Amino acid sequence: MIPRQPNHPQPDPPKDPEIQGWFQALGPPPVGQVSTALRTHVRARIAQEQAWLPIWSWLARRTVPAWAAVVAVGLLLALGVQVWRGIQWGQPPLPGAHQAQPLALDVLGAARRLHTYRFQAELPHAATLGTLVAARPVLSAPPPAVGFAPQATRTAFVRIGMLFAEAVATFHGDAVEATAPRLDVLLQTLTTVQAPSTLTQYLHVMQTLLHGQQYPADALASFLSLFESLYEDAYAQTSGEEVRLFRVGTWVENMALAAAVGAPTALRQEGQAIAEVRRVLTLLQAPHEALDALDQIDHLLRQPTLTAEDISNMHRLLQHLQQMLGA
Amino acid sequence: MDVDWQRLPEPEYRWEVVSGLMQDHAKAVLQYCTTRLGEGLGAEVTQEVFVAAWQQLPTYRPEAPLSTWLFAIARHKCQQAYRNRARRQAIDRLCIEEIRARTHIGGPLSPEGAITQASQVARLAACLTQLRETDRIVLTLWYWKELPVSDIADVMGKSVAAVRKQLLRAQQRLKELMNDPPPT
Repeated sequence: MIPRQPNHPQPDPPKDPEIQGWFQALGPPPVGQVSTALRTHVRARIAQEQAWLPIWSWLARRTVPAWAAVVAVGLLLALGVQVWRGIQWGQPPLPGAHQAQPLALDVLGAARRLHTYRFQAELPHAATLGTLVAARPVLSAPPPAVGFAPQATRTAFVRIGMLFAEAVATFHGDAVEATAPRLDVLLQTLTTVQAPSTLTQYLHVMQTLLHGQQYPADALASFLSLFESLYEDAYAQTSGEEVRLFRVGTWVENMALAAAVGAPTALRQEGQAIAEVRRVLTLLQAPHEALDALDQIDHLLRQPTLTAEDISNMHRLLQHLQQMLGA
Repeated sequence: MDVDWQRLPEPEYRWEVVSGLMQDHAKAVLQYCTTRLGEGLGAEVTQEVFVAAWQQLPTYRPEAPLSTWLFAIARHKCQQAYRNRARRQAIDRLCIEEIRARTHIGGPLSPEGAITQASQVARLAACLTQLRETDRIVLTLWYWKELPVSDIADVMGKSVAAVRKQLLRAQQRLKELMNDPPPT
């Protein structure tokens, strides 16, 4: 592929000085900053491509006549339309969602109400959580999914969990200035996945309370932590997929916080859900790197004692996982 | 960059090559895409460029330098973005947002000068929103991003003559709007 030469040798027309003056007042246009996560994002996308490669190469090896290819494409389109219609009427459940659902939900913390808030409050050095979270950049909202993109929607539910747990953590240690940007992105993400309006309305009220500065941080933290129960109730009538994905998001964030403050007991307690998290991420077709990171965390958790080095390694792995899931 | 062509079918080796390309050219590719598509979408398409490079490396023939080949992919990805309706709308939206964000930029101006400039920028943004989507894009690429007409034609998938004609029409319309008294 060689770039095409300009298709017209004529010189460019003169610019209108008046209009040029208006645009010059804007200053130089943005040129963009190379993100430090670019490599990770590209790697993750390549891993997803690789997951599809065996299918494509199998198709490429077949020397099928043109009519068969047309029929195959037609069938695929018809199937796509059917599935897409299914998504319109309700997200298709993850395979196997109905089988182990009650157990899976319990493992990920359904038995305990306000799990995220309580878990974080019980961590040693909980007062430093807010500072830890505030030092990190806010996850960006996912772009609106165009057409058939259930994968992107599922990842968005994981991000909702991560953002919520982050927002709750900002109240531990009074880093309330870091709450608002997280709530903004949380709202945008909920809008992107067309979440029930009760959830967005609740967060709008939360934002008003936060900006009003009339209530102490404790009261605001309690108000926000109730969102977890509201979320689970809002999706109670569906397959449970949205709830499980949300819980994976809160799990990753809570584990990362527990590792950051060096809390082995909390890591072991929360780590009991790792098999379920792995199952959900596998169904999500998460990059191999994410599953590898999870396996390494599992390996560390199985050790009889967790040393400071183990916890530090676990923290690094969890941060990597957060980066991949928040991509 | 030395590439062992025999090993290009190996996915892991291709990743090594793409990592090297990212190290050397990520900034330039991002700048290329951001100029044409705006900041957020530019970053997204930059990722797609490197993923496509990884996919297409086995078909690369060393007649052209690797960087030229990479920019050909970037050019193609930007053209694809313009052809996609949802993305074209995002490009248009981003361009207005970027202009609106400039309302708050300070500079070595007197307070009165800064206010006049801010109101002019706000007015420019307001007038641009009254133009057609493609007119807005063509004016921004020509006057702000300062792309040559041939590049604008290339990325928008039009002929140079068509872009020149569109520029004339869009300029005229923008001047009419800017010189109209603002609504009270």
